[in-house]
Amino acid sequence: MSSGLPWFEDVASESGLDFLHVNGHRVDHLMPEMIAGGAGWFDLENDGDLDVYLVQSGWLEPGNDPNPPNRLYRNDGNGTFTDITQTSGTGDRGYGMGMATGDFDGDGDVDLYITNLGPNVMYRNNGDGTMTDVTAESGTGDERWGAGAAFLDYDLDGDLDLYVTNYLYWRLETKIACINAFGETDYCNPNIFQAPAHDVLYRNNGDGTFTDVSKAAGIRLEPGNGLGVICADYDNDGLVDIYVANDGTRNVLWKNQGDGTFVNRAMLAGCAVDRDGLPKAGMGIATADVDEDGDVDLLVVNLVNQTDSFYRNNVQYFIEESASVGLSYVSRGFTRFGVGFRDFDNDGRLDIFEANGRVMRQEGPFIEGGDPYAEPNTLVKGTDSGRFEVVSPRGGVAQDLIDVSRAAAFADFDNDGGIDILVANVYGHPYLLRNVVSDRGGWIGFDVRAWAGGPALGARVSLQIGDRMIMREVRTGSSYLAASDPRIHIGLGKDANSPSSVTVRFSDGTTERFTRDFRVDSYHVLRRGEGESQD
Amino acid sequence: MSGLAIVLIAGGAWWFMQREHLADLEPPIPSNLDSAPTDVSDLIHASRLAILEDRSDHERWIRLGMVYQANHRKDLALICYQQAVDLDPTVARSWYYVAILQYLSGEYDMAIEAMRTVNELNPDLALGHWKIGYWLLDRNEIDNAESHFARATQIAPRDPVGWVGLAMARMSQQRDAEAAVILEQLLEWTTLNRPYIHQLLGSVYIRLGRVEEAEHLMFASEGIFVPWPEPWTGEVRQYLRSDQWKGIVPGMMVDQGRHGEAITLLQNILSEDPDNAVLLSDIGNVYRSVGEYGKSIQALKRSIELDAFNFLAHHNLAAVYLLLIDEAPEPESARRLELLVRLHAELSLELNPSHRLAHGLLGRLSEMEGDVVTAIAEYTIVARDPDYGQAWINRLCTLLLQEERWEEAADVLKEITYRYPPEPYHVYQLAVAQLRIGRMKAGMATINRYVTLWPDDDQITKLRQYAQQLSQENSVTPQ
Repeated sequence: MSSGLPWFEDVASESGLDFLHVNGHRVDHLMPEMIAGGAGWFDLENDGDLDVYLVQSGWLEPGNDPNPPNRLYRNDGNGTFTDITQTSGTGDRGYGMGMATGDFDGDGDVDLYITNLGPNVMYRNNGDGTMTDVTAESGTGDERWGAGAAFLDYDLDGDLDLYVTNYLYWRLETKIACINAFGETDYCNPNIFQAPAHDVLYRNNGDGTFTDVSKAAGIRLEPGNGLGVICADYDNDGLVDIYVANDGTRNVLWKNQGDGTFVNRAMLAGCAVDRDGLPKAGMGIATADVDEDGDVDLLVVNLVNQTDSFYRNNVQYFIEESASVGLSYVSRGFTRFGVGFRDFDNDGRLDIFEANGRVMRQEGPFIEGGDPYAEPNTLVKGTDSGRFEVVSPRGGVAQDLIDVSRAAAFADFDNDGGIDILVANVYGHPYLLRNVVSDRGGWIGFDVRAWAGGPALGARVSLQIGDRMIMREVRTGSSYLAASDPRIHIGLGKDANSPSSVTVRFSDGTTERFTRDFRVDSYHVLRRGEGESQD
Repeated sequence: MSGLAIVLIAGGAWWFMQREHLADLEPPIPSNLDSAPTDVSDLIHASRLAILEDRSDHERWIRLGMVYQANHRKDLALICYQQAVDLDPTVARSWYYVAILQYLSGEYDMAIEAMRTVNELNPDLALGHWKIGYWLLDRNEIDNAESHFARATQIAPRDPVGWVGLAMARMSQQRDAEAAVILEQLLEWTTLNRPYIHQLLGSVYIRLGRVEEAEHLMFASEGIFVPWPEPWTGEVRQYLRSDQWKGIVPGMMVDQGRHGEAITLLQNILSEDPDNAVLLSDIGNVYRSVGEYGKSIQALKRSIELDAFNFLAHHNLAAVYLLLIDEAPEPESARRLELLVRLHAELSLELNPSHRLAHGLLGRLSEMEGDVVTAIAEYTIVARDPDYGQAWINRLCTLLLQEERWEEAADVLKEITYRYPPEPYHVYQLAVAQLRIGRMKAGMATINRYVTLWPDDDQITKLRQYAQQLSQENSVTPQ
């Protein structure tokens, strides 16, 4: 266990994030109350700093006031945020779950997709600090219980398509009371409902509209209790695949077959279930080339008493190695949702942050008389041995932060080279965990842009620094109901050299090489078309 | 008097005094006991009273511990089990319960130590060895885990759990070929958790590059995982009470074929909770199983009145109406019943599109109406259901054979014979189907499988003759 100074301090309150999540819990324990809690970062105004979006929920049962709106907070660039929900037109009042970000209309600014219990919402960025609800004309307002979402270019046509996980076929009328022996009602295991939902894949038609291609693409074949989703090229064939964490049903790996269809290869790839062969309660997902061998490894976080699932990628298949990398016993004690691989201390090794909070009552709360669902978060540090070690103080904060945490969205919001974390808490205030790691190592960042100037989602960046062969993919959708900073951040350790060149393979397969003076401790914009073509 | 005797007497006296002291401990009681349902509080009161009558009896403490463990108070259960251990530290069973609860509480090191004590006290208990084996695997102590699994297989060679653990340890040691052999041998005799073992073996095959074999296994690996039998943990369940008891116990009875007891129990519960839509649907289903269709319909209709969105009740009602069609006195009644089947089956699917069982009913209806193509399409959907697909996949197979759709039949039969313990009829038909579509080598392999499984069966000659005839036509020599 590494011990020492805090890695983060919570600055949410002083920075002006006054959001309070409402889940509407009264008497009945209704499943959506515990699944909600989305949050994310995106640059609304293209001004170089990331703004905060927090997804609100509200009330499920009739007879209440209208739901409070989602909130958008503009980053003022000085460590504070200003609520611009009203002026930006982004205050959807659906019973919110999560969010995804991407420039779906290819105009150079980032658009926003919100998943709800009920119709989802698509906001198009107008480029002037406002957004317009284009759900109806875009055809993306799926009415089921949306959870995770991610933009991707699965058909290599240069525009962003959209994958949305759906959780359950649930409605208020079919609520089931799960009661323990002492007459206390509690939230249910989702499998009690026997109603796993089908996910949806929208193909971008390139004219501001989308077509639901779930059936034709093969996505309708596998219902599941879908939560987290992540898009990455797992088999290094140049096509983006889709991985879905299902809660209590087998996880799914949709292999992109390159002809507009997908086939679920999770079982054959060894990432549908854990080493013990059982489906777990998959919540959030993180992916990165942890061992720097040129392919993306995968981490799925699960329910209390189930270990994390760390799948090491062998290109043809994954091997579940949670125990050997030291994650089994670290994780078992908590119910984990938001998760991410980031190098928080810039020592050249990826660390892991997990946002925790139970879905069923604890017998002994973490604080005497406290919330029986609340838990502290987890921070583990990557080491040279390939194992992860628990960071002390717990969660990397001086004093335990104990809430029912869900989304964890990662960004360098103050552009200081240290990765910060936004954590959404159900029926609570969010945390804004500013990185205060003392003696951080060097770093380098890349802001990879598509033709029109928006983030080049799905692009794969490769570079060599010393002996390290580093590969990262540009993505915003990962973790749990979250959208993160699209920029690539690489910790370099002490006395690191800068790379002489960087190669980018864009999502349509074209490759460019960028050669320039890449200074360390800086972000560098890599604009498509400005590199040397490698095709 | 020998020195040893003195030590024993002194130790015994100390233990006796300690036992007296320990016997003063008050059995724990939850602060919110008043809010517990009567059946739970009665059980707690009775178990506590038993302890108060003789506080030094460790068995009584274990019993109260089980009551608390079964009814969601693991914290109090652990106190009781620990008291049982303190009263008599030589009882392996008390240590076992302590270990289990410590593990569930996140006290992993203590749990492992407690389980080690179980194994020291009772070295011939396979359960203790495979349990600690899995915990050690999680801690990446692979070699240590392996030795415990190996010991478990020596003690109980017909218990599949130790073998599965041993295979997993081999996989962790990168000894995949050995793991494959263990799992292949296991599949030859175990009936427990076959889909799960298929899945593990499939993973091993992939790692060995045997992808084609893995694909067949993975195809057949979806199914319910039944917790491995743990006799001591099983004992705890008898103390489960209240709402969980209401739902779970009748279901367990039905699974064991104790329908009459399940009905009586459900009737008793419903007499106190008559508007419980879920239990009405449950009892309606049990009535259907025992042929009491009138009562079944009455209960299911009432369930739907109370909760129109209960897709299971709609499905169950459609299933009863389907059974009545054959008994309908005149065509008009039959026609009316068919409409009711369709209505409720479609409502069930509308309410929950992922609940596939209603497709089976619609398939059966189509079959009765002579629409075999639709029936096959519906059965194909329901056959994929991991929990309830077996009956429907058999029906699908029958129709495909009947329609001489050999290629599809071969695929379905292959799935059946991997997913479920193979039966002679299915393996026979698989061989025939494979031979009919020219998959001669596969057909021969299936005949060989038949010979291995049922060496004395007189169908073998018939199969060989058939293969001979076809192979002469195709110039392939049978093995």
